[in-house]
Amino acid sequence: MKPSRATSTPDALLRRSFLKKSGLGIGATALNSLLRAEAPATANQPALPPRCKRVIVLCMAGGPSHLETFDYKPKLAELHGQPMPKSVTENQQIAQLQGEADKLKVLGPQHAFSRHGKSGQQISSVFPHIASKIADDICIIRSMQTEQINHDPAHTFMNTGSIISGRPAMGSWVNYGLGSECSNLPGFVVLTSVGGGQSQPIAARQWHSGFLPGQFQGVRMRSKGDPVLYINSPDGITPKRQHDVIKTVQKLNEIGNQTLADPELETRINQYEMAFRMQMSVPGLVDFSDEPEHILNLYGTKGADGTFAANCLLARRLAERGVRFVQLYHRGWDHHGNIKQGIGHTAKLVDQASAALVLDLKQRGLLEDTLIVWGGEFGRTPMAQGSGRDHHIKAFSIWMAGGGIRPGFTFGATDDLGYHAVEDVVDVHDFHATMLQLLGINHEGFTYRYQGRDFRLTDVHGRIIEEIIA
Amino acid sequence: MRKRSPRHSTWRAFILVAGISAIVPASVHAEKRHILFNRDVRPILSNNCWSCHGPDTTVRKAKLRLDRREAATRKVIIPGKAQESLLIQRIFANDPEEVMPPAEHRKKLTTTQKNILRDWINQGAKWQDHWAWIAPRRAAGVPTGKDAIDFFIRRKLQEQGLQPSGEANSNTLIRRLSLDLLGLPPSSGEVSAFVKNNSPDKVDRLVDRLLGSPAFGERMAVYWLDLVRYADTNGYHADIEWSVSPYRDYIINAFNDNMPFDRFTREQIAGDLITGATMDQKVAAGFNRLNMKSTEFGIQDKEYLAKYAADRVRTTTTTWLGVTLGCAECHDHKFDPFTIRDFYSFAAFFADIKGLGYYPSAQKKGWGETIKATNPESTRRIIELEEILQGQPEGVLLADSRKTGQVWQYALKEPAEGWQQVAFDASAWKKGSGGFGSKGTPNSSIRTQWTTSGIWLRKTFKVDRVPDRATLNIQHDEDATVYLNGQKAAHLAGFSTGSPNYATHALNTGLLKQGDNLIAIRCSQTGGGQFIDAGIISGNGEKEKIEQEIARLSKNTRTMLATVSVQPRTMRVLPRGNWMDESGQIVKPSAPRFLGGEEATSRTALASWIAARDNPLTARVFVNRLWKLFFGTGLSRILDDIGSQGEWPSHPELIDWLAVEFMESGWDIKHIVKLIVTSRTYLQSSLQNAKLKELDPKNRFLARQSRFRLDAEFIRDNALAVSGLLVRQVGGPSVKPYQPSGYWENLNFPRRTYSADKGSSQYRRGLYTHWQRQFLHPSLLAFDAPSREECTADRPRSNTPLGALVLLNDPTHVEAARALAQDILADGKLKDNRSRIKSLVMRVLSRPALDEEITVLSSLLEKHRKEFADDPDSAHRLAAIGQHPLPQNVSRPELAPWISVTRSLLNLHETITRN
Repeated sequence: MKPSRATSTPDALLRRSFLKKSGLGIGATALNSLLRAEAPATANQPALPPRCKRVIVLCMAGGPSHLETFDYKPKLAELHGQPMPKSVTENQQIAQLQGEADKLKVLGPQHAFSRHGKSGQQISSVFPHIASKIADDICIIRSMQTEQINHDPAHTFMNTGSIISGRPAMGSWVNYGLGSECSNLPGFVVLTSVGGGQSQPIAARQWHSGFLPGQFQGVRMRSKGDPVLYINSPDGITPKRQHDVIKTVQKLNEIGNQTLADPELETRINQYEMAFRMQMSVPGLVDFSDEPEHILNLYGTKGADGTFAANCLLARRLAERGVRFVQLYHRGWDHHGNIKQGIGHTAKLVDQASAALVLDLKQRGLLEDTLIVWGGEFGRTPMAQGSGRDHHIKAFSIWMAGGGIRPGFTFGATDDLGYHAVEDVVDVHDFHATMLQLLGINHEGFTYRYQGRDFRLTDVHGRIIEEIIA
Repeated sequence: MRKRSPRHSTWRAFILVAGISAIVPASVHAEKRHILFNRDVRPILSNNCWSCHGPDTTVRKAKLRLDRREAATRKVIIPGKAQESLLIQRIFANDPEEVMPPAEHRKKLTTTQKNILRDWINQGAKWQDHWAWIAPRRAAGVPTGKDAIDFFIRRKLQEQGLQPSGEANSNTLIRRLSLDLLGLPPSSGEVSAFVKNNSPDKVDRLVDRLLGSPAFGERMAVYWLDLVRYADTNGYHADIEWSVSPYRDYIINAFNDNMPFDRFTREQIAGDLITGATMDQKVAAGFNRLNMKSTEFGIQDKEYLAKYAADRVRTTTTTWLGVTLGCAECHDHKFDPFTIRDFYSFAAFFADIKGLGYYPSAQKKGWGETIKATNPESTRRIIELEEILQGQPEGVLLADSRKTGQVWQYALKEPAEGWQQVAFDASAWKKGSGGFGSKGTPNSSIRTQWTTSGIWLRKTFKVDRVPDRATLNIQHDEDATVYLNGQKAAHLAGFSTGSPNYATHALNTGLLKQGDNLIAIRCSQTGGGQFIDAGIISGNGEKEKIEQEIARLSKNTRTMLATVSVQPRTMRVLPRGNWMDESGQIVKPSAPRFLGGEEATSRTALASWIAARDNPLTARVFVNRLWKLFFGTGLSRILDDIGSQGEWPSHPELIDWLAVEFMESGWDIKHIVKLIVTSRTYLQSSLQNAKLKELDPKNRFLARQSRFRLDAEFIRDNALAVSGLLVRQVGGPSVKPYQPSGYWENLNFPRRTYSADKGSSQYRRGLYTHWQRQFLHPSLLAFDAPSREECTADRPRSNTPLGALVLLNDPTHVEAARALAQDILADGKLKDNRSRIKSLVMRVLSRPALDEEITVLSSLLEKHRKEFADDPDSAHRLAAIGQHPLPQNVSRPELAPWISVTRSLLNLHETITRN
């Protein structure tokens, strides 16, 4: 665990009483439980030289249009208003435009594109900060594809590599594989924000540990109410009193264990210590008063108010403390109508902070071992749905940065209309395979036995996209 | 679908290039123990070889199958001659180009595994069918009843050189049995009675009492509801609430009534198809509608019908058969002989269920077919009342006008004297239908206007036989005088409301006579809101009250998603599981072919096939899961796969014996439960000694009982029970315990806020908690309750800081701690702190406190007593958590330190562990 300002100020009483056990962070605990969980002997430490240690996923929930963000299609502008060529759309799956196959019309790009940075990446005008500040840091993939055309299953597929509920989220897999580097916070943290468009629901399934042991589940942090569920002691119970109760519990447990010698009990004792450390550390984590003005300005936030900007800053603070996997959902990208205004509005809410996160991690030397992923669960149709665009699975764009990713690089391409990814197609399994590779995990050997089968995040698929690795 | 990395070497290449010398170790002839195919060989072949050389024809390499003896011995196995067998040469090969499994397969055989295969071939390469595909039989020479269990367990222990443990002490036993059979702890009184009882049959009697408790059904339902993925919301996208709780209550009642498992099976899979199906059977068939459904705008009807069909296959086969037929959705199964056609043929059984893929605007329009299901308590009461009605001979002598208007003669001006007499000439009076009154009088059906200050009525009616008792039913507004045959029969002052019933008045039957009778009524109203109507029945009027009560109870219903059978949808094989591909063959319903499935017509046939005496899977799967409930691990550990990739049972003959016993007992669940929990194996102490820790750390040989954490629901139930807060009402709509605010903020369409229940609903058992699939209650989630989006046969038992935070800080647990502290302080028999602490430990842990424990708790008590005395405000705030009433006269600063004590106790590892 990297020492940092915030972690160097835990309650003194906690240091005093937990010192002797501090060797048993959750990493060791996780390992203990794993050994007992009869998991097959898979690599629980990096088998390959890792390029990054942690991942931050900026999940643009709702499906951002690639055609207004990172995939410039002049041909689309040319054909604006004309019927969509039948040859392109025939036999393709369609979402809300079902039944309108004969009336499909091309919708030209609603925002202008230009080249940015030394790398000359094409980025639309909705992202002035990303374009002007981090164009040379990010790798844009324009040839993503997915299999699910509706939000709920598409998220599930993006997060778990399967559309069947009950499979572990990628953050759970990563923590299962690598353990946590953090002794007072969970290894997988989820943050959510809204704004700019229709807020699609997000299910807890998206960060559930599925069939993996429960300690690998994502923990949601919130800006309202308890920042972590049940993190606050009961009303009237000071930290000291809480500590007295926990100490009593531990003593009684140890008395019991003199006769029982129950290995599960040792784990229980560790978990109570961890719980108390979380209780002590979370308030400091979500309190931004130690952040200087220029950092708050960089992100464009005033404090931990649950906006995407505040969540980006929180993500950096989590990364600094060694949290392995952070996922930020921004629910506001579902632009079925009036996409011109809508996408501008949503983009404005995430643009500055997305760029700030990359810059801030970079200036702290954390970008090199932090993988940042920016993208949604699918793209949007080149065809108009009124003044907006429908869901689209055959092409969408994401970008990645840091953690071993080739910077200032554009990978893959779609056809002239932005309908099909045609060059260097990357599917969801490939994305997972590449992410695991960067973390030093070979995706084909990374399995968990469940229902008699060795499951993988990448199922039986996945190609490592070597071209985007620096 | 995906490009595969090229294979360097194949069996085919090797088979063609004969004569390459493989290096087989010299120790090849050192024959050791007798190799059993199913126990020793099958797991190796299945796990390492069959994914390329198994049942799936599409990926089979070198046209070689290693899952069938004929095929294997034709090519690579020469029985009795390991050294000459290509299989052995290839697995022992050093050349990375030759070795099997190939390097890129990522499976490696250990030396032990290689030696097993070698020895097995040398011993003749004897094959066995997979144990679970063959119908179970009882082994010979086995004692009967529960002794059979001990016989198998002890035989194995003897083989292993292990000794069984002694019986656990009575405190442990009653707590174990209560938690295992009810999911609830015993009360202190039950514990002390059991401990004091020295009779040899005390365990038997305790078990009988527990099996007769309604809490048994609740406990069993928790396990069953995971399998059938029972939940209160639709799961996908908007995740809105629907009503399926009658199904949950059906399950509870079925376990409590000890419904035979074959009937339990038939009613759930095909209850709607039973001729003259009862309400319960229709509710049971709602099992088929519990799957997740979607109302997300823009989804494809066909795609989602395919998803639902696949879900039904996975759920039904995992629940009853313990197989993973769901894995054959896109291709033939890799390890078991299930074909993709088997998958879609199985799905075809459910193709008759009326339903959609896309449910447009389900928020308003619902989820298709529903039925009104009467509450079980109401149903029971209705049956009682109907029996009472049988003995209530009542007849109508004079109908009133509630249902149909009765014609009366009436006058609105005061008539001449004697108007009520039979002989009076009323021919000038008007005729009109009752009731009479002015518009707007509550609960009245008015057919003839009466708005003046008085009305006079006459009507003649016929009586065939004068009854012993007769009752006047009347609604009057206001004073009314009633005459029968000229004699005053009743004077009723004031007004009656008519709701829910007419007022009743017993009549003197002496005023009636056989033949024609005259009733005359005078009613006056000085204000407004006139009304009068009356009738006469024989009897005492009870019948009507009962009928009204039945009508009221019948309205006390809940909606239930219903299974309605219609013309089946066409079901085809979907190549690669692709719902857009319509090239696959059309299939008819059928159970898997290799298990003897034949083309069938209906879900009824499926249910019969599942619960048939010769189905090799159903009974084994069920008893194995029961075993897990009572020992923490199944006899075959993998509860959701009894196929080749499952686990060879620790005691194969025992699982078979139990399966046969189960079927031969008439699928009697309580019988098997009782056999298990009264066996000596079950009653053993769970303490582990050093030898056992080393030789059997996972306790698979059962030289002791196991210890394991309670399920999520029972952690809650336990806290509520020991604190006295638990409300033991069985069944009913789901309830909402306290939940952190904003937990639902990511739900939409519509946005929702959670409001916790008030009053008794706050203290119900965990299984009644509103089951929101996307955001399951966090206290349940923290202890591994599944979201029930999918069928779940086995819950993990995690041990996490999130669980610790729930027990420490969830208001439910804090309130339970407070209620417990309040209770102890209010107990006048407890005179000092020591006796209070002792009483608390007994209540929470069902055992006496140790001195050391009393010391630790006393010192916390003293410390916090001082603190709260100095900080009474904190004490007040702590004591205010939860809805449970706290009398004004209880000193908060006195109570608060006791809450610290009870919180400590409720957080103990032992408290949430069953030993």
